Amino acid sequence: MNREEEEQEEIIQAVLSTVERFAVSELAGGARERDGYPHADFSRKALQGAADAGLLLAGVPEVFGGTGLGPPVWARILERVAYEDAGFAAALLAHAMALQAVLAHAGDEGIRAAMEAAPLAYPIYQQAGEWDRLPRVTSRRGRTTAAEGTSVLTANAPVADRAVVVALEDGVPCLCLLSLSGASRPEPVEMLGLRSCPAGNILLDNVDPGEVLILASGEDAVRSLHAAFYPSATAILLATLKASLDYAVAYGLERVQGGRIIAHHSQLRSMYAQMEVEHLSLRLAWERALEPGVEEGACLALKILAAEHAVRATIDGVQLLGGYGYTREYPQERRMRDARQASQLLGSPARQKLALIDCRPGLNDPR
Amino acid sequence: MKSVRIDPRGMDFEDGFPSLACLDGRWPAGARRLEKAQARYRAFADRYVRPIALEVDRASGRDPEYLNREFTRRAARERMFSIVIPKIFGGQGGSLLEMAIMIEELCAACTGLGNVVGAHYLGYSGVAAGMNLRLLGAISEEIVAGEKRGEAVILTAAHTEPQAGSDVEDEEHMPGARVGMTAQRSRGGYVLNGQKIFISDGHLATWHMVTAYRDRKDPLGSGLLAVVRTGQPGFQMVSHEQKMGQRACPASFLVFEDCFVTDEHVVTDRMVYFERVLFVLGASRVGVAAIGTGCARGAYEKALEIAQTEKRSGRFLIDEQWVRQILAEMLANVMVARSMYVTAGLCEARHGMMSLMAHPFMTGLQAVVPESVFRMPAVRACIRSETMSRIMNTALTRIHIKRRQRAQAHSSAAKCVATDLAMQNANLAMEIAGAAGLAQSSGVEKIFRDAKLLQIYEGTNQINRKHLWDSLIARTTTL
Repeated sequence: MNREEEEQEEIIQAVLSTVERFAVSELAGGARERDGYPHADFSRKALQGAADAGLLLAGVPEVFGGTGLGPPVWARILERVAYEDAGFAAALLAHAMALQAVLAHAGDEGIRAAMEAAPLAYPIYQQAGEWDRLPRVTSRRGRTTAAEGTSVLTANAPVADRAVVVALEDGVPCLCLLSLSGASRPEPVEMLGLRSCPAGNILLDNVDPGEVLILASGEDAVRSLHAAFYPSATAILLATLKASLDYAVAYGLERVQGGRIIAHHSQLRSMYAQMEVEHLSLRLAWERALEPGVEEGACLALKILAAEHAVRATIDGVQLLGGYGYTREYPQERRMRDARQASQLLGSPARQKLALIDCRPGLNDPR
Repeated sequence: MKSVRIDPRGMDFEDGFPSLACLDGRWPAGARRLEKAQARYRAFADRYVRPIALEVDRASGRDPEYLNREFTRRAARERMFSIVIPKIFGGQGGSLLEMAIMIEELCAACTGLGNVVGAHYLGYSGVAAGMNLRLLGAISEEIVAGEKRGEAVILTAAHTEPQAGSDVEDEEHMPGARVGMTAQRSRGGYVLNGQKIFISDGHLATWHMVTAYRDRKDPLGSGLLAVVRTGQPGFQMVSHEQKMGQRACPASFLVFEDCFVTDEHVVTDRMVYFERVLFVLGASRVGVAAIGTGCARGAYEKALEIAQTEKRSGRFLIDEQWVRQILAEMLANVMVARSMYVTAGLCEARHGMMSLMAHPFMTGLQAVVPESVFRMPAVRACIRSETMSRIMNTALTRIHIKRRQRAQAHSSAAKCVATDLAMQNANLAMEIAGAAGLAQSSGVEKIFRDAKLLQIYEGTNQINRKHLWDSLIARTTTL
């Protein structure tokens, strides 16, 4: 490890210590309450805690007061946060993706304005490459003159003042920064999981076109942004799986059925074992994905695999608690919903697979 | 590939139940009756269940105390609570399969609302298993009278306790179970004390079939079944569980504090307690397999609907070969699940508790004798007499162990296969729908939430696989 790498490792460890303190003091035990959204209020307390701990600026360059570590540091932060509350981790993911888009394409003034507007909103369920149903914008001489259509399931939108959305301009995808207030701020959509990450459909017809700034045009702008966050989406899935396993084992050591501790039944142990195999193998691959130079396709493949395993394992996580696992009194049902919802982060696994194989050299050659 | 519009519920009886339809020539009354029943309950589900399913789910999510009594009233007016009640007690004299077909139709539209009706039959089969014909007759008549008034008289089965779940459904684990519900002998009856949890339909029910134990250290040898009426002194329904899914069907927490049940309300306190529990599970798991089939079908129908409305890259999903493959797999899953419950239902009618009612003498009697005869005072008294109860009890106990186990094995297999396939189809529907399936308004995520409970109640699927082992695989040993 050279000097630069050592310094970087020190910064990462400092960030992780901060996240640990934040997770324990602000998140632990509060996930059920935050999961009540939209029937309960959005928890701004946790968000304020994250801001106070400096986590909302973690991936920002040093010149703007961040760590300068870029998107990979987000993956590490989200993994710890998602262990406590995957929904809150998704809210941070949306903020991080929007902020990254601004950092990559806006000027200093725009960046500073965005940094002060936490949380930022972003359509985290949008798949790069699937441009159906995107809202449309029109611009002339660098100014947006018209905006219409809907940015579907935009995470944080019901509680954010600013959003980055993916839109089409003349049929070309682009990233747009816009302001949300009053009529343009959408109502929350009741979702399956990740409920502490509010999502809403932004109707761009309600947004003043003058408030829409096209940050970048072209498929690559969207694709590269998403590719940078595949390990973050994987982190949320991995942590949800791990949390489900840990809880199931702890419960199994307490619960007695038929005069025996249930964790001592080999049938249940085989279920724990399957979850452990999935967790450990995913973790190994995820750690590797955080290293520089890993191919985008490999990161996407890992996200797809993590989605499949997390969905399967968290369903077992409920089963291992029996009827209690199905009630909101216990966290396992939330983890099952969260994992299923998180599997759709940055796109649906079924369609992401097709997108992945489409990129294989030679497969689309005419015969 | 040719673009098509497909009716998710366009398949007829012959498509769905070829094994039953092929019995038409040999068992015309049965097959035709089932075909008519399917059409009738499908129409009911389309008209009264599907349109309210999402709103009821939403309302129950917002307010855990919410109960939809309008649905139970409509189901009562449609006589959905008396299908298997024998005609001698004023019921419809229908088969377990007819009930299962109704459950499948309701659950394809909403698993939670379907379970409101399904759970009632679990409670009813518990009362029936005691063969206390005076009590069974009185409760049956109350259900039928309720239907005539348009009011649902619902039964629950209160078996699960805070510290005892899977183990009280399994003979091997039962001796070590930490049961807490006690029944202390008192003059003229028993005094019940304890708690029951996850009781489906609790807050909607009039009667509760309760299991309790005279000796907590010997649950296997000291169990009894008794019925308790809502509002009875010493009995309270405390709260609903806040569940992930099937929110339309309340899961209640029941508390018994010095609740006195008279001997007339004791279903059975004899040594046959656990034998009767297994008889009940043998029948009720067929119903849960039908719930699983309905849920799997609901997922298939919803996925088909979404595939015909959602576009990706300018093409409807239904026009994609990979989507058609998944849809075909989902329908095949429905077919497998349905075959399992049909087989288990027929096996139950031949070898299980229902074999008494499906006996040619009983079916012939009910087919030939006018119902007015069963209402004649002398006939009523004879049917409800101690002697008749004793005869029926003996007949039930004399069903050979091998026959019972055969029925129980098939119902356990049907339960775990159908419910696992329901979960699988719910997952596949989520895959096809993608982000469009995440919002509650889509109806897809609800099916995903609903499906999971099926793998847990009526014995976890792990317990059911154990029962399959115990009742079929283990008894074929040559050692």
